[in-house]
Amino acid sequence: MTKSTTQEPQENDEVNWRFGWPLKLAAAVFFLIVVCGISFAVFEPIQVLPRIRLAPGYALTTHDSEVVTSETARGAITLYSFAPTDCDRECESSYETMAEVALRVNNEVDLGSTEFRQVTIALDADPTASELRHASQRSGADDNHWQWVGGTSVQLRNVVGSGFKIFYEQDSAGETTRFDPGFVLVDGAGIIRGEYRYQTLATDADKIVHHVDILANEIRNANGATAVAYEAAHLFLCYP
Amino acid sequence: MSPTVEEKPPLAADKPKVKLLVLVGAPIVAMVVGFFLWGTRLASVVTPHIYTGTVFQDSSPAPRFDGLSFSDGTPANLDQAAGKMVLVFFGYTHCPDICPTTLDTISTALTQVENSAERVEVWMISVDPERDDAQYLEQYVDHFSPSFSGLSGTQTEIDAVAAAYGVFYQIHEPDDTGEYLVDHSAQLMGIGPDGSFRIVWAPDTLADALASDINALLG
Repeated sequence: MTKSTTQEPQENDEVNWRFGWPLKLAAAVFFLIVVCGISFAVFEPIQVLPRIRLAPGYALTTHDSEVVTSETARGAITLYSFAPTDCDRECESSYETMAEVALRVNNEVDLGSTEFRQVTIALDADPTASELRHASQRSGADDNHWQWVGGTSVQLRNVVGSGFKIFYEQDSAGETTRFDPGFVLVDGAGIIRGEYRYQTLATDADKIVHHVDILANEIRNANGATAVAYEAAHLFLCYP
Repeated sequence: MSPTVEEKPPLAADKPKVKLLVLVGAPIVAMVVGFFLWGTRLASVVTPHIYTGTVFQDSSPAPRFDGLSFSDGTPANLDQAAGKMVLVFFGYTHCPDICPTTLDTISTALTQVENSAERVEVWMISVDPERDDAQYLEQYVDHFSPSFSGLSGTQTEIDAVAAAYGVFYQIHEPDDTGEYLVDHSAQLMGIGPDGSFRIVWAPDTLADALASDINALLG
């Protein structure tokens, strides 16, 4: 009797020793993964900008007859704005925002090896070289990192209307252009990552600079194993 | 009493087995229930597939193919491919390098996708409607796989679809022999079986990576 009662715990102990610790380990790992998943979703340690949709493909022309295409912008972070070439007072704040963003991105954002470009698309069809040049000078564009480009009415419809989804219309005489101002941020893969159409408490420049910073961080850091963390951030919609 | 105790060993031997079963079974059941409750999001983080292409989380519908048609004249729309993944590529039959390379890569990748003919369609949209007539276009894509399809339309129609898919193209002036090149974006794009735009691959994506992404997207 004594013999049999002492053998039972021994067998249990043996089973516990043989199978107990791997199970406890598996349970601990599972628990840890669940906690990590919940923590990631709640605390958002990495922020990313949403991949909204593909930016339109285009080939538009500058006042120097240089053809700027969506492939020219590949690899660079590009901020687009939209304005008619004869736009003065109504577009002043848009020009100021573009200039402020250029300055602040240069000073405040670590772009690494990524280029930051700005493109303003003229909303009047077939602008002359002279019109584009004057618009460029008036807005403060440097024609290097910030360029004005124009195209035909069909190109504008495909690129600005359908592609960037910016509302604009010209009167029948083609003299007056009505439009909704806005900015669009596109990453180096040609994907729209930010759209700025409405005034909020934060200025457009504040929002855009912050978003360029987030995008630049993703481009710099999302390599190797860290890429998984960034994809998780996309999956959990860790957006600013 | 003593005989009763002597009969216990078989029962005592079963007890650890039951305990073991519970210890093994409980975490597995918990894991399955956990994944079910959390849905695919947590599951795909726990066992992530690292995509080579850039994936879109938003399931917005892919741009339409208005005006384009297959070589047999059938208008192209995603309803025809309902339930299948559609790979979209813009190119032309006289393309000297990137188009044959990409189509060959796709063809190789699809050999690594189970039942690919029933699950994946490949549409090459011509950016050279002047030279790529329906018959010639079909012969060209057939060379890579009989299951591939060529799509074309007027220049205006192609312009609109290309812009919507983020594709730039520019036809060069013909040389003395009348031949010309067409510059064009060469990314490959994937539309999910539900018609949503899902993924973009860079032109230099290898067949293995492409197959792996397609398999992951098809589940």
